[in-house]
Amino acid sequence: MKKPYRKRYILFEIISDSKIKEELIEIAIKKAIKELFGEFGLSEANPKLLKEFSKGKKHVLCVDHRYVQKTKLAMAYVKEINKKKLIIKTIKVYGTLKKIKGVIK
Amino acid sequence: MFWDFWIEEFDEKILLNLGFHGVCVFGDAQSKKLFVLKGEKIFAKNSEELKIKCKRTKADFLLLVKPNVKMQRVAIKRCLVDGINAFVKYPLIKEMAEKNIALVISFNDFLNSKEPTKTIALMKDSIKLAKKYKTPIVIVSGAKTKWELRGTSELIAFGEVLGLKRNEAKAALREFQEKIFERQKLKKQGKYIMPGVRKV
Repeated sequence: MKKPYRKRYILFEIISDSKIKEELIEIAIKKAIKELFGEFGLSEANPKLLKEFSKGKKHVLCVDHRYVQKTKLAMAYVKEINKKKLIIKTIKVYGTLKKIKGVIK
Repeated sequence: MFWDFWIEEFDEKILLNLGFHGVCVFGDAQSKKLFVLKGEKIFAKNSEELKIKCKRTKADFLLLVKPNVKMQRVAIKRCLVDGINAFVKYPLIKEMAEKNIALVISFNDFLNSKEPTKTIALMKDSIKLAKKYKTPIVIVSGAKTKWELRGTSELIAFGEVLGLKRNEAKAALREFQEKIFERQKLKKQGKYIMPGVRKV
């Protein structure tokens, strides 16, 4: 039987001139989801940045499987963090952490 | 092959990183790694200005930006442009499908909108009609600076949120654009005469 809530792991890259802290990235993404889809959408998407998988400008965001596309849109909606302009580029969406470990290392 | 058909600032490195194979630049650009077409935005206040501007230009892709309904009607009836960036409604969107004029949806309209929810609602309406009458849809980033560029997967997600299926959203990034690129190739070879007529 399929679980009603399945996790998806979005591997993304930050394109910017300067380095941006992981906490700020997570806050900015959550803020964008909240702005576009509301509190209810944010609670359903349940985005979490997995800090142990962050490497350089590449990061991993864990979300609900129903909110993958909406989260991607919200990530594209982030224009700047701390007045530093940036582009968030999605690389790939994974279904398990095992696969993502192989890609990042 | 994915295309971004509305870029004002050209940055080859970022565009390649974002997964594009070709772009249409509203300005000057040259690249060896990307296919580059020259586009022109057209703003017109009345129909005569519109006709003159469309005839004078030698761009590969003509885009009518934010026209009122009267300008939309003139441009569509006379088949003056290749794409329209506006929220087009019923009778005109059907005619756009017959004349093969694309509905251009810009991500930048959403990104820099004061009311993004309202913009999305209007875009959804236009896309619903475009799907019904099989009007070509083109999703573009509409970037005025390099920081407004967005990747292919983000634009596909944008299309999906607007009500397109995944394959339709992907087609919005390549199908119509490839037709324009082929037309441009024929023009360079001197084989293109007018819509529907070409030298064999």
